Amino acid sequence: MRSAATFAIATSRVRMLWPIAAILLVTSGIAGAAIQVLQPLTTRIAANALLTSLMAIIVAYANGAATRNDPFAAVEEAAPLFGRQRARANAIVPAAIVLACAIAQYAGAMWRVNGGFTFVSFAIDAAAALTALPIALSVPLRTPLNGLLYAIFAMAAALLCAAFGSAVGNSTQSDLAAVTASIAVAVMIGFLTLRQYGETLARYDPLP
Amino acid sequence: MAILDMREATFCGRKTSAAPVTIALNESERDDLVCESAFAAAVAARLAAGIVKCTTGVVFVGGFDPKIQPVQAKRLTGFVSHVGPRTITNAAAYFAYRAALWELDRPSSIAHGKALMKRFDGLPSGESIALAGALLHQPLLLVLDRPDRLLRDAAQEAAPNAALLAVYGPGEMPAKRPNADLAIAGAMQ
Repeated sequence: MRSAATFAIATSRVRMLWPIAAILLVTSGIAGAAIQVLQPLTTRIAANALLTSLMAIIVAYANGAATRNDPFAAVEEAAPLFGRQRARANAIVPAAIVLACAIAQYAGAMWRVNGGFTFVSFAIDAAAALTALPIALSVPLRTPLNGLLYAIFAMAAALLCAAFGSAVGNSTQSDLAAVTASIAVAVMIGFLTLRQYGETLARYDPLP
Repeated sequence: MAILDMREATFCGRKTSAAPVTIALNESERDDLVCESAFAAAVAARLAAGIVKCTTGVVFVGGFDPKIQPVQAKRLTGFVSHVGPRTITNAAAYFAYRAALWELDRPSSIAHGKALMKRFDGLPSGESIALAGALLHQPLLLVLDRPDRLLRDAAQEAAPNAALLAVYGPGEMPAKRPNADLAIAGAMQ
């Protein structure tokens, strides 16, 4: 995609989303610490994945609101950009925010359990967040009921990614395999759903 | 070939619909369209600008169908919304943003935008920025969503060769200034 347009759209999103990003980062840190009291490990992994996917849904919703309320973003609907180009540009800042949320969660967990939370858990969590995000980005473009279904689908995809990574890690007893497996699921689902989000943007009729 | 060719174009959404619109505009031609409601006017303006796709009928902008070739159609169109960009106060940032989205040279776009704004004497700042922004890429078709008289006249004078469509809700169409027809005739010659 043309880098100038991507950079311009991403900058406009940063201007609109930084307050919500700050709130989500603090919330993620606190929640990340709180989740560490859960037992057993599988429950913690599921809770982490659900939390990051929830953050992805909130960011996606805020991103949709920013598109509607930002006078700069109002120009995008009239700009000669393909849906897939807008999808990629739209996803950059929310993806950075959910990754930062995963890092904040990791930092909170490290503080709570004094270093017992492994990097593998963080990597699986981050992959789960990036799996959920492209699905969640479509939520603001849908009717409330369809949006709810998309939100549930995003959370389910995040759970699937985390569960698959954990299962591979358990069966192979390899951290690298666990991380690779979760990233592979994130890339596979993320690619398809980002393309689908681009198609949705291309067909979407932005009414005033 | 008409710059804007709308034939029985309708839009049916979940909560709204726009009546069939038929318009053909060539280079330098101007037309005003009055719709049954302000919302229908906003939808009709977006239909003409290729932002919203028609449900039935056809719309062509410079021979391109916005349903199939939205990027090509939008390259030919300048659109001034009723709200949105009119609230912008930082003109240079807005022109730079548009330059990035339309693949224009940034410094020359900012300079061009500011030069255009100087020509819009009497226009409120927000409207002036919005109109100058819409004219940056020198569109063949200019669509104005419920403009006031000043904005319409300024658009007409700034882009004499572009086809211009102004869309209004009921009772929103401003009276023409006394010598408006003369000015249009002069611009077309």
